[in-house]
Amino acid sequence: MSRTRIHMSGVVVCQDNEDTIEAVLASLAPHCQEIVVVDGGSRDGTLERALRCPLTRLYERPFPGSIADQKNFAFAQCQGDWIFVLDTDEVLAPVSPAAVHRLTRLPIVNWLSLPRYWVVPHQGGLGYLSEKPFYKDRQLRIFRNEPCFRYDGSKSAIHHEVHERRGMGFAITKPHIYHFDLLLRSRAEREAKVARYRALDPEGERLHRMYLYEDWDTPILPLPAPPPVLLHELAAAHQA
Amino acid sequence: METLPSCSVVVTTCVDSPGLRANLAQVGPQARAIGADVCLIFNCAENAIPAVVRAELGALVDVLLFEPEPGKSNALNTAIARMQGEVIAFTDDDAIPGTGWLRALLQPFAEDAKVVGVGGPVLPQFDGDGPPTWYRRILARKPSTFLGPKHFMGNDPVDYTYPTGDKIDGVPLGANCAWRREALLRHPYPPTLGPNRATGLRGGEDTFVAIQIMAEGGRVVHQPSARVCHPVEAGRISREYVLNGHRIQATEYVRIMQHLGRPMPDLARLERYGNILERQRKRNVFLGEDRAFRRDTKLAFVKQLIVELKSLPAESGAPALERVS
Repeated sequence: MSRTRIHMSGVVVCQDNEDTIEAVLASLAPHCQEIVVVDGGSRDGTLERALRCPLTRLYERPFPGSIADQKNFAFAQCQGDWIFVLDTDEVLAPVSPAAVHRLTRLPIVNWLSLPRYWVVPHQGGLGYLSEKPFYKDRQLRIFRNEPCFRYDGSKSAIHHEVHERRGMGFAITKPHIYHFDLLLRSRAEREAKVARYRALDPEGERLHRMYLYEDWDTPILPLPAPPPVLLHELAAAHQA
Repeated sequence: METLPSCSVVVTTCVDSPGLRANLAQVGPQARAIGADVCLIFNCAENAIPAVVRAELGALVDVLLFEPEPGKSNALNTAIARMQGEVIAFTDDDAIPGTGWLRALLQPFAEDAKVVGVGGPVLPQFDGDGPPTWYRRILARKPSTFLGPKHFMGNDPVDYTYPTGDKIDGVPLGANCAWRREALLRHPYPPTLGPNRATGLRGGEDTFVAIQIMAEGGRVVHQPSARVCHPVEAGRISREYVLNGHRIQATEYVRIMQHLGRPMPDLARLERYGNILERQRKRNVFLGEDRAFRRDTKLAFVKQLIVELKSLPAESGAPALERVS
């Protein structure tokens, strides 16, 4: 197996995500030449399923208590010139990687931000929360593999941002990220999650409350493009 | 579920270190879970290690040995002679085995009696912000995931194929492999290869033994779920260290080929290639820093290869080793 130069490294940090990890890696794989997966100590089948993706390079590192720290460790293992990071409750819309790669080949471009759908059950199918702060909820997920693009976890134990957006970048319109955390958890589970987040980071109250989307009166629209199969499965499980 | 073969894990080291302790903290429980024993062998005289350290480390392993003759190969051979496991598993003293490493490494032996060896991925692990761009680019072009011979064959279990011709890639690394003991007794580690403070070499002994065992026709399996991470010290991420590594690899390459009785590369052709690289080095002053360094690594390898080949006697080596089909 010979290797060509690695342009884009994918990054996924996981722990006990056996239901979703394969779909997450599969959606990321077309854009990357390697995917660094850092597991925080899974006790389910996450490790085996992560290895089913041929691009996976799997590291085990006990969760240090800060997701920013864990992700920075993952970034340090990346061999590519660019990094594309996804969470385990997100999948990418299936689009050709060519558009992203064209931009990342430009020497002046240093980062790209992607729009994100907060996916919710809607009229027996799937919809997304269509107004601010839920949409477009731009996420800086593609950036050069340089020390300035590392997460700063010092401000919040939960929500983390990169130190600085150095240089020029673009807010691109695709691929969309489907954020399906709201499909995975019931209202009661999300309330417990918000309470936990509130204790860890009292100043991030507004961001925490986004998980209780029912309180926001945000219009829900049907997803414009057919969502990945995983989301249908999760919606069915949610309804059940 | 198949019964796993009896196993002894051998860890070779020169000094006590936090990395060694972390390694034993992973290896010990995994070995105990399947009834394997762990041997730690110091490549130094017993009195070079303080009694307190000897006592502490002795409590972490089943057998604590000392091999005063310098050279990792000597230490490995001593440990193999002493340990009685049907299979001997090896890992580096500073490597961190992943969950289920030992069980995964032994699984192919249990499934097929013809399996004589198993190797797994050795993943480099960096601290801080990770390595600089030039290092990443060198690493990203290696088929190995690591700066060494190609050993990583993907995330599916496959058989290693016997390396033919002048390539010696595609063999398990000594940091993560297991062999049947009887095969290791037939093919001991050569003292002229392997990490040794006296010779300055950094490896090669694992590749040589792997090729010799593979030449006998036994199955050698790549087991992707038997992973170890190998922390890369900051001191190793320097251009001089990497260049020196390429020089040393050239020396190891010649010694391995010599031991195997394989034909050496054509000296005249190598000299022509070396001259081309040298001319490029002088002319392409505007070449990007990364590309220039990659060319320098090739040049370092070729130059050392030429030096080694010139130092060989005219007719050297045993008859060429043919693989038994």
